[in-house]
Amino acid sequence: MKALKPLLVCLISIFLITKPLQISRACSFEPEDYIAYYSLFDPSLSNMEDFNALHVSFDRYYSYDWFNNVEAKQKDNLKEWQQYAGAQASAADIALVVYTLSREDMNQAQNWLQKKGKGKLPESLSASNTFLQALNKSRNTDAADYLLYAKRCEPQVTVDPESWDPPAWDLTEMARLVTEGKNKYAQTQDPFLKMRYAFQVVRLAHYSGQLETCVKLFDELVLPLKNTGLLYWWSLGHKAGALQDLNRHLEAAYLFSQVFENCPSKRIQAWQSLSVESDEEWDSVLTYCKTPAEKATLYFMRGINIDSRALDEMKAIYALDPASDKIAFLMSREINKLESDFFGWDFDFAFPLKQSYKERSTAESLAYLNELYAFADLCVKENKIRKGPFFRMAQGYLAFMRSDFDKADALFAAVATQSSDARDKTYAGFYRWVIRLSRLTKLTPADELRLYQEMKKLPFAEDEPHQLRLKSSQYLFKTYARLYKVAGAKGKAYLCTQTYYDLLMYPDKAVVYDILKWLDGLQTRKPNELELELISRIDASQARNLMLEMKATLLMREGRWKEAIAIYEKLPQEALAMVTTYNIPLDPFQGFPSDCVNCWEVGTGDSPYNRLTFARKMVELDAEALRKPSAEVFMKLGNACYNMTYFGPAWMATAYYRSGGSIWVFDAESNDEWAVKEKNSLFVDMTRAEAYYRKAIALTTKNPELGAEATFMAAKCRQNQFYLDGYSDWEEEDLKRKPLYRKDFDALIAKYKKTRYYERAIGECGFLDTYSYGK
Amino acid sequence: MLRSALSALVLCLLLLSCGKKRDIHPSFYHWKSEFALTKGETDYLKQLSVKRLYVRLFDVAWEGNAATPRASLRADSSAWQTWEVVPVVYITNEVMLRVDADEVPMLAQKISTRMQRLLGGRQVPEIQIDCDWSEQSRASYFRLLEEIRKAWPGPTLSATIRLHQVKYAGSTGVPPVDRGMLMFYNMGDLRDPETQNSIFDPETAKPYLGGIKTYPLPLDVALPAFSWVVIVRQGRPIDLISPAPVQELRDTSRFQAFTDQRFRVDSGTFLNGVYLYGGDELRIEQVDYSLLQEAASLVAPLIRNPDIHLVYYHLTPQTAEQYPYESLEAITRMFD
Repeated sequence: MKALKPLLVCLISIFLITKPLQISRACSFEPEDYIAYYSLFDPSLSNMEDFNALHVSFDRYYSYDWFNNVEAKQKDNLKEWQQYAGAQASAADIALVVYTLSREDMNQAQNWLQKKGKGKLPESLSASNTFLQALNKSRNTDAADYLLYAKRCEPQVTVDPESWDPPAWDLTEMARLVTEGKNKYAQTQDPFLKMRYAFQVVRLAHYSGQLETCVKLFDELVLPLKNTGLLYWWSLGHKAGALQDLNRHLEAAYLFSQVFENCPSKRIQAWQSLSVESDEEWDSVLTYCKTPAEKATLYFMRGINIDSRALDEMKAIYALDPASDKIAFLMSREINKLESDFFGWDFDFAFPLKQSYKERSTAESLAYLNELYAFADLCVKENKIRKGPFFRMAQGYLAFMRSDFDKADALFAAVATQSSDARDKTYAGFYRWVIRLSRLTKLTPADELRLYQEMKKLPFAEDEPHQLRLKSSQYLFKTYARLYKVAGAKGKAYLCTQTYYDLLMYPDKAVVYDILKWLDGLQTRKPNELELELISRIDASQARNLMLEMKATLLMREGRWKEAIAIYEKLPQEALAMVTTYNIPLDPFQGFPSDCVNCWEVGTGDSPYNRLTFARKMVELDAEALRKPSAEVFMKLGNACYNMTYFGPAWMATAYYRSGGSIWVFDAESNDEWAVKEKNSLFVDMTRAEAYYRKAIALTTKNPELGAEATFMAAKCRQNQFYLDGYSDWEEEDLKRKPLYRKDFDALIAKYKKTRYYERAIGECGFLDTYSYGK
Repeated sequence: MLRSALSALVLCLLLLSCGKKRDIHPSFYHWKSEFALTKGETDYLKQLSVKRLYVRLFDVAWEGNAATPRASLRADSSAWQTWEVVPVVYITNEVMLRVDADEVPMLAQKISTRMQRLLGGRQVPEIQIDCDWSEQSRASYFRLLEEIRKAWPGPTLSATIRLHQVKYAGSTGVPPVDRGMLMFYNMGDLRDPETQNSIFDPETAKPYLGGIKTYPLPLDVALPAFSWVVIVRQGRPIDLISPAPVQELRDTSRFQAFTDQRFRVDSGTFLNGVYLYGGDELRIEQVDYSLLQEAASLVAPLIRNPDIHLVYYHLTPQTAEQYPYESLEAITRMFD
């Protein structure tokens, strides 16, 4: 076993040849390993279904099993077995015997076949299995013999070196299986089984590190069969892998290109195995090619790299074989990549297009767009290509991306009238609708409804792979949002892309008021389809009441208690439930030394206050403060104003959602759109609470306990203000400012150290405990 | 008399302790996918008196829905008999963010078992875990380290520490290990077109130096001894070629130099197995001897432990050409 260790390691390296070599990601560049973008150009227009996994498309990129592709391999293999066994054998029955049946059960099945269908079958296999019946009918025991052999080979060739489990190779067994396979190859007269034995021994030789033998076995056993079925290409892949490890990587590259072209189930592995180091090597690989089409395949493999700019490859293929479908495929990839560049994540773009990724160059991408357009134009004009409508469509789409809407529309109109293909007509019509939408610079009521109705009638199914139904809706609403915003209709603009639930998380006063204004306008007439869809994004039946409730809650933030109460009291019961169902957990008029925002667990239970009763109590206290000002009443007002902010346990009086992480948006560096949106939505106003506490302090000269409490609470307000002013604990410059915000803590320590409240605060507030140490 | 003698003894001890030099152990990271040192590499290591190699054994990445070993080292463990080996495992932060808390002990067991298996049962003085953990992944990563220690209690357990983890130790925490390996490189923004050298830039490093001296772990130091070419396409970095093929870039028939470090590709061409397109920009980033000296001069005075493993990242056949052994010896002496 010790002697085998180097070989085991060697095996791992060999295995990797047909699996692409994995490079450690640590301390190296990590390319963006996702491609996420909005796309309206459907790559399937290039009509190369077998190559779908190579489209620049988020879903397809991820739905493909890059390393194993087991399903595709099994599907192709089962197809060959079905052709061999005859149509009466179902794919499911073949799969059961070929892939599921254990070696022991296969042995039993073979005995059964040898006894002409007599004897006992294993429990996992029924005599009604159509594949078994077909073999029995033709008295074919050789096939069962082969399958038994294959099941013995399988454990030796399917070990994954990247598994947590220890590998279980057995080189002696592998060598024995090679010899046995060669003998069986010689013995059988069945060409189908001969090819399968040849494949098994070529694979075993490859994985056991017998590289020269692998190449030789391919030439001696596979080539003479003159069969270019599935197993030929699988075997060729092993020969290519062996050649690559023998440093004959140029021959290997050529063979991989052959596998790539002819064997969909090994296409990705072949592409990833292609390795060319230099221009000289590239030229050498091309000399192996026997036809222009073979050369075109090599250019195609080079052009489908994720970050390629495949215009070079398209031109090379065009020069070699202008009728090659691969040009259309590469063109669709390049268009999709440009969409990714310009449309980006959020589909929020405007014409003329600008780069959606700030680190990329708009000028360079536009120059490339123009080059692609010119090439598409050339293809259309010279008319040597095979897929005329596709190239006109591509040219039209590129014209659209260049903001040349007239030219684009003319090209799509030509496709719609000239092509006899219904699918071409559908897409041409769709792209003309996209252009109409893109042309809009402002929205008239007639346009906005008409384009919306046209969108609803687009003939794309819900499950269409490129999801054009969904994307056309998103594009329409993104466009409308931009135009509504320009027109000052903030509410409708908001509802184009967001819903009531977004508004609950990030309340925006301007949006709420504008939505209400719009809804008020609809009180006198029946809303149209578009308006109904926008309303449904709040709530189909009580949108206005929900908005009124939210308006009242936002009024609470401004201390406009009476206006809030007036709105609440007019709400119908269902909407009022939003206000009255959930009580504030702690008494909001009490002060708490330690901020406790989700205090249900503290055990005090529900207080008698909800938003409405809280507002009523505030009105009472305001009146009392005017009538008979006292430290006690100012403390209650201060506590209420503190507790109803983001920092206090009564935050739900003025908000619908709270996240502990939100406070970091006040960090001076957090200036992106989402941070600003979140910052604006938080209710964090410390000034009102602080002002009440200061009034209380002024009236507590004879009550040190209350004085301590008021000073402590004022200190908390200032401490919070430090972060709200954009300072952080990380920057040295910021920390220098901190003492300015802690003067009240200093005053508390200096003046009230002997009070009971101070003792309580020290016990509950860890910060004060630490801060006061030694003072 | 006795008092004078004692005073003299104390003074003597003090002087001895003040004058005692640190133990500096030069070393290298081996970060390739195959362990097969050339004779040149072996000779170079011997010239530098390198006894220990930090060898990356495998990565752990999140694939499918599980932590999976990737990019395992291909090697016959007999090949490294000459060296004291510190096995290193790189774990992506994604793994630590996504792994269930309940599964952490099992993951630790799998990692240590796989390490021991790949080492062929060989004893090692230290094991190192490399992970760019964050505040969010801190809890599960630290638990993993504790579990690895339980699963393999003998060797010293170390973890790599990046500069931001030193500066923000308050939020990212200090890993529960015996030693830290301070990675004094990869500090710039590779994606920023204005970046001159993302591998090491003294100005970028300076704001991070503050916490090194007080970091509560003995620190070894990893210094950069590598180069790469950043390939920029349409303004966006898309790939790296490492080490930087500096000589090839002097080929004016293919590349236009617009500074010593920056080039433009004239038309489509292969460079070290990567196909470049006309218009691509190439940026050489390397840490030459003087920059390496600057790095050492910044970090050396901040390390307080009496012994340091000074590890250069990373060993390639080109390392000896780019950093003659005398130059790395000089760098090593700067830590005395």
